Amino acid sequence: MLAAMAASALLPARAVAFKPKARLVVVGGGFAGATLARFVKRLSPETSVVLIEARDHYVSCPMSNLVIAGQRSLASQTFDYQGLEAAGVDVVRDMAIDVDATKQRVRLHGGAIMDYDRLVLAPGVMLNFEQLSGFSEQAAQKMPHAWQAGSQTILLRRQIEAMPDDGLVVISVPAAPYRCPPGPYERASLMASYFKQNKPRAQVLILDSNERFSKQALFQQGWKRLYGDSIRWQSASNDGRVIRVEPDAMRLHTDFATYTPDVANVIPPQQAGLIAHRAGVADASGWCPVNGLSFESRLQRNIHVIGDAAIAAPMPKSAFAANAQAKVCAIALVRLFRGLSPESTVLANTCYSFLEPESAISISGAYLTQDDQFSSIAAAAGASPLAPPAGLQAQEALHAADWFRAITQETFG
Amino acid sequence: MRCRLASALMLGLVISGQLQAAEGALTQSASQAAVCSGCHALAPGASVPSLQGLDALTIEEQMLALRRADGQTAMHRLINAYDHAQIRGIAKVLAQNAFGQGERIP
Ligand SMILES: Cc1cc2nc3c(=O)[nH]c(=O)nc-3n(C[C@H](O)[C@H](O)[C@H](O)COP(=O)(O)OP(=O)(O)OC[C@H]3O[C@@H](n4cnc5c(N)ncnc54)[C@H](O)[C@@H]3O)c2cc1C
Repeated sequence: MLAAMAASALLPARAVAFKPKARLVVVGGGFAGATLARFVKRLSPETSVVLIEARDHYVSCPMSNLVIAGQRSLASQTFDYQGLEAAGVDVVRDMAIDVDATKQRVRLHGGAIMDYDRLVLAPGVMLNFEQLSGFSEQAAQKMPHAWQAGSQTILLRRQIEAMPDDGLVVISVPAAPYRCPPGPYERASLMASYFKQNKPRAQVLILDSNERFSKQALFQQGWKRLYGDSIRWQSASNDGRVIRVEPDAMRLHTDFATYTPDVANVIPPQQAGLIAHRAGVADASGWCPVNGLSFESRLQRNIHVIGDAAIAAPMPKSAFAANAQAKVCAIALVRLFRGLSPESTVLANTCYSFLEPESAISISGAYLTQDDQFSSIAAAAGASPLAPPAGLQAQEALHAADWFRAITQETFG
Repeated sequence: MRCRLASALMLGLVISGQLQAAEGALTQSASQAAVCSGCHALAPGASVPSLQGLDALTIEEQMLALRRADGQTAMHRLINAYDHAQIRGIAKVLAQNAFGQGERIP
């Protein structure tokens, strides 16, 4: 103690180097939060990094449509937090239930209180069951959403395996924004690919609350070529919007029609995870407005929001974007801890979608970050060609698999 | 006194040395380069190459070649987001392995 006092008395000008280490608390260990925790620790080992995650394991949504098609196991989608612990991140398995933005502390379900200098919220999405009349978490046991991977993914897989050979699946798509814009259409493709092999008379009907969708021309062309008429799509203005469901009777209602499919995959509307609302960082849209340079909330100081929960449009809500935002936010946080201001950068995204297990298409974009917005860089935006040269879609399927391996290794170690 | 001053100075040098090393990873080029590892893993994949162990000039040349090529993969599109100066900066960061990703090799 005496020695320490003597040493610090010697070094008045360097006192800054001895100030208590910065305390970073991260809520949510998904593609956004786990990447961020790991990166801050790597850039700044002296920072104390606590990651609060409610679950023991993370089950990845990316590639989970292949699980539904019987092409992958759920185990290959599942990751644990040992890699983060080994990297020096203090992983706390608990649910954050409240944030006091003024006192800068987080309260956990188990009773613990955590003080922070900066807080990063990366809770992903909350499913708004009650926004769809008749739907609920319980109803999702009959009409699975499979929009959070795990038991829901397996349930949907079992249902399409068990349905009659000439059965009908309805996929109900909520109004944008929702997590993974091309996800429902990739799912339709992979279900149809399973049916083509196993139940050639089965049909997929997409009831959509939107007028158009990501990679639409590429998907529709692929569907025609691979699956003939077995995937149909109805836009919102073509009575595609599901307004009410009756899970026990397996009925879905649009404005003018009622459907009674064998399998109903109902994807509910979404908003930022609950803790973002508790912290006061979500606005009336249900999502979190952030500064583009630092991802700091526009509504509360010292709280940053990344991943699906943040408003980073025109960036989509994807795992690729969540991971990229996390790394940029990590650099911004370490700069802030060192008294440097965050700088503008270029973020990027690519979403691969499988048309069938061995062929895929992609859409990508790059985004200039500014303090008040994210703007798309036109020269870098685009999707796979509509008339692909031989082998390109097979190559893109390999790219997708490589991407998944790289990103999960980087995120979970 | 002189002795104490000298050790204090040395301590200061060590600290600022560490800060400087880390600050290479906090630049604009570093935050642009940070995106790359989302696809480019440490070990090469079936179709996406690794960027490990390449020198800055090689990476820069490969990125410039990609920009001239008329391929149709995601990277052929994304490369157009960066001008030559940005590409050079990104290549430098990747070659220095500024994020210390090497530690992930078991
Ligand atoms: C079917 C499907 C396919 C997809 N395919 C792709 C794809 O191919 N490519 C792609 O880029 N993206 C894809 N996505 C999107 C991707 O899954 C999301 O964009 C990504 O998971 C967002 O990451 P996140 O970290 O923001 O949220 P999440 O991954 O949801 O992680 C949030 C974490 O926070 C935890 N958490 C939440 N609240 C609390 C709390 N209060 N306390 C403690 N812990 C909490 C949760 O348990 C969870 O682990 C797909 C999504 C779906 C549904």
